[in-house]
Amino acid sequence: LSSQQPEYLLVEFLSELNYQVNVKKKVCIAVESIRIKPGEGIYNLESVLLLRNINDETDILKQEIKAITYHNIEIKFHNNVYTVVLVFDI
Amino acid sequence: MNVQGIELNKIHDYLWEIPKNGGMNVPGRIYSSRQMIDSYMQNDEALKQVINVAHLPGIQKYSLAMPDIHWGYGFPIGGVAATDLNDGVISPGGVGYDINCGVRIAGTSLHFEEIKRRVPKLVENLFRKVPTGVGAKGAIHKLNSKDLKNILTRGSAWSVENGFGTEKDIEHTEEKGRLAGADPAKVSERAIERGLDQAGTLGSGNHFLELDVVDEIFDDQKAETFGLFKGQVVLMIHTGSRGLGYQVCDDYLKVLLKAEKKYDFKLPDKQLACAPIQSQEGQDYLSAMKCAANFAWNNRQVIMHIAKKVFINTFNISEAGLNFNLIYDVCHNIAKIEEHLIDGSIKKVCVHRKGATRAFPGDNKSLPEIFRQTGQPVLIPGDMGRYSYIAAGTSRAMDETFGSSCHGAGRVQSRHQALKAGKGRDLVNELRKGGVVIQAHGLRTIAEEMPYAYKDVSDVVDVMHNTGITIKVAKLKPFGVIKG
Repeated sequence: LSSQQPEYLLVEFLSELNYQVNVKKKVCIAVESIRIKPGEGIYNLESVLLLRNINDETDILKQEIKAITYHNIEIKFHNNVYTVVLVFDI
Repeated sequence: MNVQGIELNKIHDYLWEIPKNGGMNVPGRIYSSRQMIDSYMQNDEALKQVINVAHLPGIQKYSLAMPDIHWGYGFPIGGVAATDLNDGVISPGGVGYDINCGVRIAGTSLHFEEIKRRVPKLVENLFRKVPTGVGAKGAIHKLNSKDLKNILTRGSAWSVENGFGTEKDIEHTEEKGRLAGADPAKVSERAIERGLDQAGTLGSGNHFLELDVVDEIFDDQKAETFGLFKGQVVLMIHTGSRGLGYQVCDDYLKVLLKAEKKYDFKLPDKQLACAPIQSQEGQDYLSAMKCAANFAWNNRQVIMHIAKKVFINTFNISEAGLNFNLIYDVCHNIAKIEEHLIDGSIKKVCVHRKGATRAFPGDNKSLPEIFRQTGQPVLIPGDMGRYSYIAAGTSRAMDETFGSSCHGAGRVQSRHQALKAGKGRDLVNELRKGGVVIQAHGLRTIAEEMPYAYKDVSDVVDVMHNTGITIKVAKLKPFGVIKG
């Protein structure tokens, strides 16, 4: 994935996971690697994820996430910790 | 008056103006009562969002808010903005994720008194037949991509050709159930994929099927024209374009966030990402949005057809005896190219209605002949415990709000707050005591959608009625609800 701001990249990454759940019926169970590389005015993200199939019989999706929004999104860095508040449209 | 540091000047008892300031291109105008402002706007970001929308390039006259205004993404819910077709912008934030989320109401010949003993059975059968809830699918055969693309360009007409509706249904649907200029090539494969098995499904969240009885008639002549009578059983359907629409919005937000830099827009909120309507990006979004809108109209048409079959089977009644007929279908999340009188001349504008309903008067040529004396039906669902309204559009709406009105009650509690408020309570029984039978996939949705989470829709409708933007025609009372 690539995007012009780290915040947008985060939204794209989570949107990808949401797409896997909603359409491919797969859920992410582990992140094997994730690398973010800043480029010329662009941020690139490469990740290897472990997914498993959602089992209609045993898995219950309690809440559909329609979309990951950009609402007031801002990644903050304080005391060596990154924080961000994300709003999901449900 | 001052709300959260925002100056609100009173125009009259139901209209308040935020003066043009800073980067605002126009003033903001909010239709509301003093009581509603005091009760609901003190801790809501919506007024700030009215100001943000006023920054959009090419916005005309005012950034408007209807009385059901509450916080949304980018635009407030209940926001209306018209932008100049030549030098204005189009913004997915002014439409929402659920493109052409809307409402339709179908009338029947049934009297509530005749069927009240069989309401639980009817609710159960509707719940069984109409796919609801997270990931709902399979209302009709799984579509192939050729079918789906046909729906994206032709909307409700696909349903009629495939036996899910009648020509009259199309006539009684806003835009006849189809926006022209929809190009499926502008819709991503992902969006297509999300839509393939979702035609005719209700989904989750605030979407519903609701059985209502016509409880009160305010305008006999208009009610008769709309086909309404006191004690009548009607069915209301509230849903939209499902995953396909969300994906279209998502896809184009990404495109338009890039356009912001390209066109050097300085907007106060990322969710207001936009592009000039005449630009490639703007035209592509408009075309994809039309596809999603057409999908949504078809969706509501298919659900209505399934519901009709359920009525016929549950009551063992003939189709003619049931007289299941579409009163009207309105969309309340949309951007449409319309003509409006601005500064003394007719101008083509892109009207964004985000949680707002079109409310055209009878002399508008886009309405079917039957509504020429009444204005278009304006459908305003309330909460699932109290009541909903049917009103009619007026020429005042054309003069003041680009032919727009409110779309519902508007939330006063977030889903989280509502869930908390419902803890430890037997909500199903509470509703039953109030005369409402409900079936849903989980108690969570019921708690999130309880009446206490919403404003009293009567307050909202009264603002529009007292201003003359719409005229009240009938009040409906719910007795059966199906939630996702």
